Amino acid sequence: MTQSVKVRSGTVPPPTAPKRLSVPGGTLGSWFLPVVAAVIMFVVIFAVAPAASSYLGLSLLLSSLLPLVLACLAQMFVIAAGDVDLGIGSFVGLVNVTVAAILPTHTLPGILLLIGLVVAYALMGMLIAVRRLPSIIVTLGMSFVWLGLAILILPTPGGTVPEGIVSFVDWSPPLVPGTIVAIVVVTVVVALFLNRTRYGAVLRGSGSNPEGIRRAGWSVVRTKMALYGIAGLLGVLSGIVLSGQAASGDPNIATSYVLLSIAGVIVGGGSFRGGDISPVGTVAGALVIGLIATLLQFLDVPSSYQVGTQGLVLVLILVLRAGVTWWRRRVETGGLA
Amino acid sequence: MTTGGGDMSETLLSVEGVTKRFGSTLAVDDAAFRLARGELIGIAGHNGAGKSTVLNVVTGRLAGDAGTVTLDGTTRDATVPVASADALGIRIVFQELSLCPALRVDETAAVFDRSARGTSWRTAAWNHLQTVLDEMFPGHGIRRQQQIRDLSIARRQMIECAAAMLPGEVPAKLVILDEPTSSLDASSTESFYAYLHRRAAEGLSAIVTTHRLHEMIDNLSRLYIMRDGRIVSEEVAATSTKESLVAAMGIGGHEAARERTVSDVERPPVPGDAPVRVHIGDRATGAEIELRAGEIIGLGGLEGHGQVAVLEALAKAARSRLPGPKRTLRQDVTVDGTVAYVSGDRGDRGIFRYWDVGQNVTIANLKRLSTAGFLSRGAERRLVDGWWPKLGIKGGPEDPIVSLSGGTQQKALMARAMAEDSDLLLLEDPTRGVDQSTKEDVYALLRRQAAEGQCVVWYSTENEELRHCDRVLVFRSNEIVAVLAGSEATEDAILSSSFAGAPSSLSGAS
Repeated sequence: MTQSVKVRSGTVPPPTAPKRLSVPGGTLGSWFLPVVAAVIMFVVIFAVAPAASSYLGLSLLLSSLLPLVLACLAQMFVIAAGDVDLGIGSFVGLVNVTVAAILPTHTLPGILLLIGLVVAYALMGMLIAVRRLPSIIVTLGMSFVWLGLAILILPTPGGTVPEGIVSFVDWSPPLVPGTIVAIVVVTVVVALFLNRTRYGAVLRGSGSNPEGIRRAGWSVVRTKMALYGIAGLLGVLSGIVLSGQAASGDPNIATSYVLLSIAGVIVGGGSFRGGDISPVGTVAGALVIGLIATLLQFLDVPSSYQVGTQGLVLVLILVLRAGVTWWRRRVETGGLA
Repeated sequence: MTTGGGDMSETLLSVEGVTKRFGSTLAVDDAAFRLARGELIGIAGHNGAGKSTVLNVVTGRLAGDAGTVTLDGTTRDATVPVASADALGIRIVFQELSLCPALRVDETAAVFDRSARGTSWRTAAWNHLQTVLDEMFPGHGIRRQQQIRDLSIARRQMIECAAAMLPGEVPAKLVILDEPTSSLDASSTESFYAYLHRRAAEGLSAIVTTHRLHEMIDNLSRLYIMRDGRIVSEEVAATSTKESLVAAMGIGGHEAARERTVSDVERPPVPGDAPVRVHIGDRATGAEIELRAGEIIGLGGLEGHGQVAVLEALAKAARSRLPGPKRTLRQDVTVDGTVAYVSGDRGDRGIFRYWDVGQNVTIANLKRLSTAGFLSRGAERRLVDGWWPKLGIKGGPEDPIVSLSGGTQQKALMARAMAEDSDLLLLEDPTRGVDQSTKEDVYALLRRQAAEGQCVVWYSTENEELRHCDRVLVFRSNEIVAVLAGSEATEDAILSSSFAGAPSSLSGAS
C-alpha cells in the first residue's frame, strides 16, 4: 500500500525519515550483535583448537552449555515481564535434587512435584502482579525457599539420576550432535511463540506498558502468570538436563546461574525496560557467556586471570552494543540529533 | 463544520444524576447530559473540574456513587463498574499514551484488534489499522515494522486515535476522546476531525475533552461546561467564542485570559550588549537568523519538521566545550551564552517521580547551591521559596511531584530551568495537554523571563499560541521557510507558510 499524499517533502529528509535498512541488523538489531559475538567465539575456538569442530568436540563444547541456555531463556521471560528472577539458580538446584533423590524411588510423586514447581512459578507471578510486589524481593525470598526444600530433600550431594534421563541427555543422533538439535529446537519454538504469535506480542507488551495492555482488554495478571509459568517450565527443563549431565544431585549445583542468566539476557540484546528481549539473542548471549570460559582455557590464560577476563569481555560486548545503538540513532536522525 | 449530522432526535447516551466522591472531595456532583446518535459533543473545564471522572463513570471503568447511564436504550446503574467498555460498544482514547514502546506498529495493532487471528495476524491487524490511519491522517508516514519507541509522540497519538476506530467484536457506537490531539499539529488535527465527521454521518457519536477550546468550537455541535464537579452550562458550539467558554469555565483565582495587544507584541528587543547571540544558518537558503536577548522566539510549522532538532542543536552548541565559538559540528548553529532546556516528554525525561516538588525544582542548580561539594539546605530552600510565589502551585514544595496535575508539573519543570539563570531558555511544547489558565501562567512566566533579558526559544504544536512570541520561525522539512513577527503569526499565516511550495495534493489532506 502506498500513501496517496506526501506531507513531508523537500530536499532534506525529516528527522524521523526511515534509513534503517542501511544499518547492520536493521529493525531486528538487538539479536544481531550477540549472534556475531557467538559466531566469533566459535571461529576463534575452532582456530585455536581444530578438534573442537569435530562431532565429539562440538558435543563436549555445547552439552555443558544447554542447561545454561535454558536457564537464560527462563530468565528472559521474567525480564520480559519487566522483572528480575534471583531465584532461578536454587530453583534449578531443587529440580536437580528432585530428579536425583525422589524420581528414582517415587516416580509419580517426583513428576507431580516437578509439575507443582512450574505451577508454583506461575503463582509467584500472580502474587507479584496482584499485590504489585517488587519481583527482586519476591524471587530472592523464594530462592531461599527453593534452596531450603532442596536441602530438606537431599542434605548432602549425592543420589542417582535415573538412567533414562542420563541416556536421553547423551542422545547422539548421526551427523549433528543432539545438543545442537536441542538448542535449535528450543530457540525456534520460543522465538516463534514470542515473536510470531499474537499472545507472544501481548506478553511482551505487558512487560513494556502493563496499563496499555490492560486498557486494550487483556488480563495483566494472566500475562504475568504466563510469563512466570513459562520461566518455571524452562527452569525445570534446565534442571533435568543438568541432572542428566551431572548424574547426581546437589542443591548448590546451579547457584551461579542467577547472575549468568541475567548477563546472558542482557548480552543477548535484552534490556530491563520490560518487553525488550530477543530469544535468538538470548541464546547467543548464553553461548557467548559459556564459551568465554572455554576459550580462555584453550588460550592458556592462567586460571587466576580467567574470571576477570571473562568479565572484561562481557563489558566489551555491552560497550560495543552501546556504540552500535548510538551510530544507528545518528544514521536514523540524519545526523540531526 | 459545526453540526455532527445524524438524527438529533434519537438519543444514544443519556447520563442522569451521576455523582462520585473521592474521600472528602466531591469530584462529580449530580452530572447529567445527553448525546444523540451521530452527534459530536465536548466537555470543557479546567484540570480537576471532573471531566475525566464523569467519563470514567460513563464508560464503567469507575464505579460512581449514584446515577444511571443509558446507552442505546439499555439503562445501567452507574454504581456498578463494567469489565469491558468495548463490549458496550464504547471506545476510549486516553490522555496519557497507552502504547507499548517495545512492540512494533503491527503488533500494537493486533493488541487492540481482536479480530486479527491466524498465521497472518500481524498483516491482518496492520491492514485494518492502516486503512483507518490513511483515512484519518493522510501521509502519516507510519510503517508497520517500526517500533513504537522510535515514533514521535505525535505519531503514537495518531496510532492511539486510529486504534479506537478499528472494527471490533462489537461495533463502536460511542468514542470517548480525552485530549486526542494534544500532540498533533494543525493539519493532522483538522484531518482527524474531518474523519470524525465522516464517521458521525454514519451514526457514530463522540465525546471530546480538550483544552484546545477553538478545536471544540470549530468541530463539535454542543459543549457541556464543567466546573468543580458540576455541569454548569450547555453551549451551542456555533455561537460560542473562546472567551465565552473561558468565562463559563470560571477562571477562579487564575489570571484572566487576555489577548495580547500589538504594542505588547512589538516590544523592541533589549538592545546593546546582548549576552546571547544565536545564529541559525540555513544551508539551503543561505538565510541567517540572529536571536537576541530578551526575545521570545517561537518555532512553528507542522510537527516533526526539524523544530526539536534545532532546539537540541542549540542546547548542544551552548554546551560545547570546544575552543572557539560555541557551535555543533554538524549544524550551522552558533550560540553565545549558557542554556537551559525544558524537555517535551515530562514523564520520561522531565520529572523525578519519587522526589518532591522542591527537589524537582532545585536539581539543575545543585552546583550553585553547594559549598565545597556539600549541599546547603538553606540555599536550597531560599531558591524554592523565591520561585514558589511565581509559580502559583497549590500545596507546598514538600508535596510529591506526581501528586500534581500535568500542567502544574510543567510549571515546576520550567521553574527548574529558569532558576538556572541561563542566557538562553529552550522549551519543547511546554503547553501540551495543559489547561487554558495554566497556559496563561506559562506565557506569563515566559514573558517575565524575556523581560529579564533571557532569550526564550520554544516550540509549540499549537499555532494559535505562537502569537505570544516576538518572532516565529516556521519550519518545513528541516528548513526555516518563513520568519513572522508575533503580530502576524496567525494560525492561517503559519499554516500557509508551512505548506508554501508543498505539493498541491496537500489541500486534499486538510
